[in-house]
Amino acid sequence: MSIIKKVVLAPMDPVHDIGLKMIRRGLEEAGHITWLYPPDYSPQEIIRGIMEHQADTVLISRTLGYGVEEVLARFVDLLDAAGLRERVKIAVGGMAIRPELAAELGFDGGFGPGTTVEETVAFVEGREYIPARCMNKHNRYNLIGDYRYEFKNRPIKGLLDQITAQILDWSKERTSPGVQRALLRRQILTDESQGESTACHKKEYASLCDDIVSKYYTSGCLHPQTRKLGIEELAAISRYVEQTRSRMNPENIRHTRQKPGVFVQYGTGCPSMDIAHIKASEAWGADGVVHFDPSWGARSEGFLEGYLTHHEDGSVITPENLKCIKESLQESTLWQVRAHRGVNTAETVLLAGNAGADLTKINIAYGCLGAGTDPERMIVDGVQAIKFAAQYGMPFDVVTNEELSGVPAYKAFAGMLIVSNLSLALGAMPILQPLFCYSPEVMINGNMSDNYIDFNVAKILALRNIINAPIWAGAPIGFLTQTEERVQSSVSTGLHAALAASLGVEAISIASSDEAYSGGPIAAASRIDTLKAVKEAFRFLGTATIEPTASARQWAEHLEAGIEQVLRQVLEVGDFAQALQQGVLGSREEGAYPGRAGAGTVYRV
Amino acid sequence: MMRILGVAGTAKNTGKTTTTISLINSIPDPAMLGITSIGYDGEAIDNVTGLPKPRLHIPEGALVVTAENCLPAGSASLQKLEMTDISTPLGRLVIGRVLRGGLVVLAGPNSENALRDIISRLKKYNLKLLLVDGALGRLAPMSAADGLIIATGASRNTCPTQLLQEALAIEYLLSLPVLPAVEPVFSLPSLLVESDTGLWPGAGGFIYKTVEFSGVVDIKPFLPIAESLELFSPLPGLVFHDPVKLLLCGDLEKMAAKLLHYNKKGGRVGVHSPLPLLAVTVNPFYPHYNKVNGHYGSAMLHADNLWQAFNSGLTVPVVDIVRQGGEKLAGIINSLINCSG
Amino acid sequence: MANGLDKVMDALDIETFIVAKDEDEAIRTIRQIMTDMGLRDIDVVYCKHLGPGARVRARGYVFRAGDMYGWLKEAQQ
Repeated sequence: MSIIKKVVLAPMDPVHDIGLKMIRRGLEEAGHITWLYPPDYSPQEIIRGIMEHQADTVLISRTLGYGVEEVLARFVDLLDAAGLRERVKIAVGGMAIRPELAAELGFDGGFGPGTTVEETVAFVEGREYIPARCMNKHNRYNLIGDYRYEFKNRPIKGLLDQITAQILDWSKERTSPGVQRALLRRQILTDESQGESTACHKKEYASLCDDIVSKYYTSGCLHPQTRKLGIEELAAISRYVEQTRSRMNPENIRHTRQKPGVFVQYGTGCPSMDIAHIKASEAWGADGVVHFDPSWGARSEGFLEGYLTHHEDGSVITPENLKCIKESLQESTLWQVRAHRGVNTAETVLLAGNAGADLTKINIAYGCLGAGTDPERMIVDGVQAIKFAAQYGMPFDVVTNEELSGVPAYKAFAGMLIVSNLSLALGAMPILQPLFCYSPEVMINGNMSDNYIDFNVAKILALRNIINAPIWAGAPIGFLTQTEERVQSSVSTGLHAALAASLGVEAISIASSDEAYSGGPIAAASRIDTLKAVKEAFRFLGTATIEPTASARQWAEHLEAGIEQVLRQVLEVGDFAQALQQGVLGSREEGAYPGRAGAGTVYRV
Repeated sequence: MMRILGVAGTAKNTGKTTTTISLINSIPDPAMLGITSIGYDGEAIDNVTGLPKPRLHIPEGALVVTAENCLPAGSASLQKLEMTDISTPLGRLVIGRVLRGGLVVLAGPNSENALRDIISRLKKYNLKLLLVDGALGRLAPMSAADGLIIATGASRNTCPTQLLQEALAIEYLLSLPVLPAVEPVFSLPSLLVESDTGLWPGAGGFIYKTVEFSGVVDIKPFLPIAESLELFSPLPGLVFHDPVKLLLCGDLEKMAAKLLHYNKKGGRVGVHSPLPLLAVTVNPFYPHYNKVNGHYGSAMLHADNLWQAFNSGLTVPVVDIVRQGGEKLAGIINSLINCSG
Repeated sequence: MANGLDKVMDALDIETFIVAKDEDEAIRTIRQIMTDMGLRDIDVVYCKHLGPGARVRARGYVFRAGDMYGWLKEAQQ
């Protein structure tokens, strides 16, 4: 049963107060009776009015800071002396008001700048204000949705299917230490879950690792850049998570659009610090978090175990570290553990799936052209990784990081589509991840000399012309447009986020405002900078769209044609690994160097 | 029987806090002392805690009444005796005993009703005195006090003559005696705005022997009513609720002058509940902005002259709170505590 | 409250405008300010000098990954 309140609204300023007018509207919409006085009534006049109307509530506004204490004190005093204090609820609000000041003066409520109409109405009605974002429980963001992966470009589909067949045929009889370790790890995990001894399998596992890793299994010796976390540290982080969780009331980063989901990257080196950063990111609205591991993790065969902290950027992947992070996440947070490069790809996906990750990242082409892994090795491990991902029902993005080395987008996209089509054939769920970046290609060709919009739009248009698949812009968006300047960096991220929203992509990965700063690790506050910028960008854009110029469509057509041409060339070579070696998907001149890590380790079963 | 002594300042930096501290220090046995405040005091908010800055050092054994959020702040150690259900924006009011003396953040009842509630709750603690530290711009709750000490000084007005004129007006208004109402009585509610003049029947009011002012009396509606009353013969008696309602009139000198004039013409003037002025403390210092070095410094009126002028002009004891301090105030406290009824 | 810096998650940034004749002077000045404030592990993240002075952001790392974090100590108790 709602009780109708009689509310006097009085601006104690020389000019009208917009705030009070909006609050009055809100109160009337809620069914209350209101009187809005003209500006600058004296306290006596306001009190006389309260008596006349027999009001039960009075809302004062004050924007001028000068003399605010005296004016408000006098009002409260007169109200008290007139015998009305007990039966009238009084609140003061405005730019000059700090809630502490209102409390000191004896007001029942004090509302500083930023108070919403809803909050004031709740105060008048005598009920607790529950912010809207609390009422809509943060829902888990759905990346895959209803995508069916229908190909619209039949010629390209035909080419891809042939390449896929060749890859599957080639790889079905081949394996590698990476694949073997992954299978052993699967066995170890099964042993552990059944309470059986893992000693035997671990010994075999260790024999397939590089020295620096196998030392851990044989003598407990850790990688020099790591140290074990103590029991107290682990207990403390667990308590910290519990305490933080009870206070979590995450912001909703989106406005009127349902997409895109927003992912932030983490990888400070220390699981505790990672968790702290993750909690901050979750609170400020991130839908998902992406694990960044150290670059040496991709080059040394085998994984360490235990709760390990790393002295430099990148958090070590171990089963225990992953477990620790998973336990800290909000239920609604999506978690990606990347497996897109190096000699541990298959095992990474396995560990990720086992740890309960929602997503992983796999790209065979990038893995060998930009991340230093041997093509044959990358293919064998990649295929296994994709199979694991399919088994765990874990979608993964296929990211075109080669663009950052200088590989033109059309070639990188060809590689992405090859891996994606292969994934579909293996029953997996690939997500396309083109880059929104200021790549070497655009620097040379001048595609972004006028704006950052057209070329990025062209990428999306081209991909959508080819296949109906989820698209997740990365990685992060606006890469290489950012400087160390916080505002510039945040604005650039925000604007790219607006573009992504306008295009209706499923998700974006965003950097912090420290992205371009190389002097030290990313600070938590810098993550919040870009989350705020993205939120504001989404607010600005709403459901409106950003209009590209005619160049976007032209470039999209070129991209599509280029992709087809590259696929034909791959088929001409007849062997995917060879095609990669020969630079069909990215040449040395373009900055792509087929890697050597794991070279010669692939063998037939 | 517990007496309630209010300390109010006419402006910031008049020495109100110094006065209150002197009063606390004059109490021989802190166990018979209770202290509270009625609210905010100028820039006294601590930027870090967001709470009022504690200015008062409360001795061990004394009772304090403050809001629960203020308990952890300050340096004194307190024992919670009673949690009341009187709520303030800083939490419910708590009655506590000081176990180890130190600074206490005082944020007490901020309305007359709440202060009266606290007063009745404190009866069981056998206190002799409750000190109510005032706050800038707040006077209304002091209606519940038994006596008032006013702190004034150069920061209120650097002209000693004008300062004294105001103090004289305050003294007069606080000296108004209890006046019983003689029937027939016309009762007026709070007079706040000019149009409230219309609440008085004017010429038709000649039949009343007493005009009772039951609420606040603002000078603007009051003057025309008083002028209209002066035309009657005999003049009806004027009974105000209590002096505080008059102190809020908006122009103390005009009000005092009008009432004095009315009284001289033969009309009786008094109050329903008295609130005697026990002393005035006067502070010759005032903050002065130094244009040369860009800082606020301390400037001073001639202290002796100021005190002399006040002492000659006022009837109540006058204390130069900086130079004279404790003794005189101790004498005032003792008379208050020892006087019966 | 114990040392306030204990509650900083990782770094304390100071952003301001330094009146200086060139970038070098601005950087020296902000470093001095940071040191005077008791911060260590200082780096200047950003400095751009134009006209009367420089917009600067300096950072003092309070905790780096792998340290014993002050804000975790409370949870430890």
